[in-house]
Amino acid sequence: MIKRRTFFLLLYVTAIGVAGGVYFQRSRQQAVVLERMDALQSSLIKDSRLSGRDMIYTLRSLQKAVWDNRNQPPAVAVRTEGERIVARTQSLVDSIRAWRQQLRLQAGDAIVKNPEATETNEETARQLVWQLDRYAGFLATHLTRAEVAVPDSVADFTDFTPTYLTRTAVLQQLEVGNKTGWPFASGAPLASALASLTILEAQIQNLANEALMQQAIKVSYCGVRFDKFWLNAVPASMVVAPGADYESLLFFAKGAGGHLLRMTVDGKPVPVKDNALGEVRFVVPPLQPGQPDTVRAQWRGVIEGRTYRGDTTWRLEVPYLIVKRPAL
Amino acid sequence: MAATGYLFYQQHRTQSLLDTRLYRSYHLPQALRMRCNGRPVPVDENGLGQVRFQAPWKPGPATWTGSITFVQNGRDTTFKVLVPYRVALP
Repeated sequence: MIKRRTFFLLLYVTAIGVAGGVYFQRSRQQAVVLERMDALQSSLIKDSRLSGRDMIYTLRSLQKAVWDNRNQPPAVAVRTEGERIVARTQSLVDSIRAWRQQLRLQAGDAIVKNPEATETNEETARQLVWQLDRYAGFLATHLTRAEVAVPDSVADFTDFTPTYLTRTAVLQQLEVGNKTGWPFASGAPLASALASLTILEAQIQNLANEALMQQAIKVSYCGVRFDKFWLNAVPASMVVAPGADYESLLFFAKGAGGHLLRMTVDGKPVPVKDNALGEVRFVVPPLQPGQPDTVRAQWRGVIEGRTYRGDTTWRLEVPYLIVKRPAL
Repeated sequence: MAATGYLFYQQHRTQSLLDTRLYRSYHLPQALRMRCNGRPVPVDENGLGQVRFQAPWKPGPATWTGSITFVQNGRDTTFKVLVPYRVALP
């Protein structure tokens, strides 16, 4: 009898031990998962900040391109749309961040130690859906389905008729209404809820970046922009004998905006003027005693055009003659 | 318009200094009419006008005027350039 009692007692203790162990193990696993979610959220926040910075850079380059296009009305219209995309995106992102901040304040600093179930604030969620719906309608008119061909000029772009996304398609990309309990289910752990909001923020910024980029390429040629024209002549010689044949090449020249180009001569940088001309000026090495009156020499010129698609480089070697200065 | 791919330089010798400009030529597919001092200049397939004339006999500074005319948006567009040179005894 005693043996039987002892056996049941042992069995009871073992069962409690196993249950406790399982519970402890589950709590530990849950803590690990929440820690991972928190780390993921931190990473997403960093990405989101970078994405926001990219958007500002794109807007600045768009504004500069419009300035380079001498503020032509079609370019100004593109800039206005770009600025609207940034303003509306920032407004929406601020709302999401405010909600995230509110959740954090409710939980205190230690999210992992306090993985309380989060109640979805119905009013906040409803307001966000309304905001997203309007934003999606706005963004849909700026997002094309297919790749946009890079135009050569603003004038070329006036004939371009892209196919835009629909508002529903944009909302689907943001997963609005795709799942129940959006953006996070009521009762979800706080870390999970925060991560959901951060993912939503990242998705919005990605879409906005894409829309802004599509605006930017309307006014920015992605390669080196040859936008200066003039007629030029390259004579065979600047000095001719009386009555001799004078020869020259005459051609229409097109130069690239100086801000895009870096020019070097024999490895040394050359100042590039606004009219896209690099002014090369250097002291010719003097003739040494014993050298002939005329010495062949050459210099090497390099023009580098830097764009986000990569570098373009042109090289040339320019021969010239060093002649003895005539006695006056 | 399409680039010819030529990279040109223009060189002026002033005592011991070289003043050189780097730029790229451009070929206009439309019919080009080039002139030198009012006379037509032959234009090759790359859009380069071949200027050749007899220099004056009198030594000293001289200039010639080049012009290029092409049709843009249905209208004649002309660019002009004044090119200095020097006539000197060899």
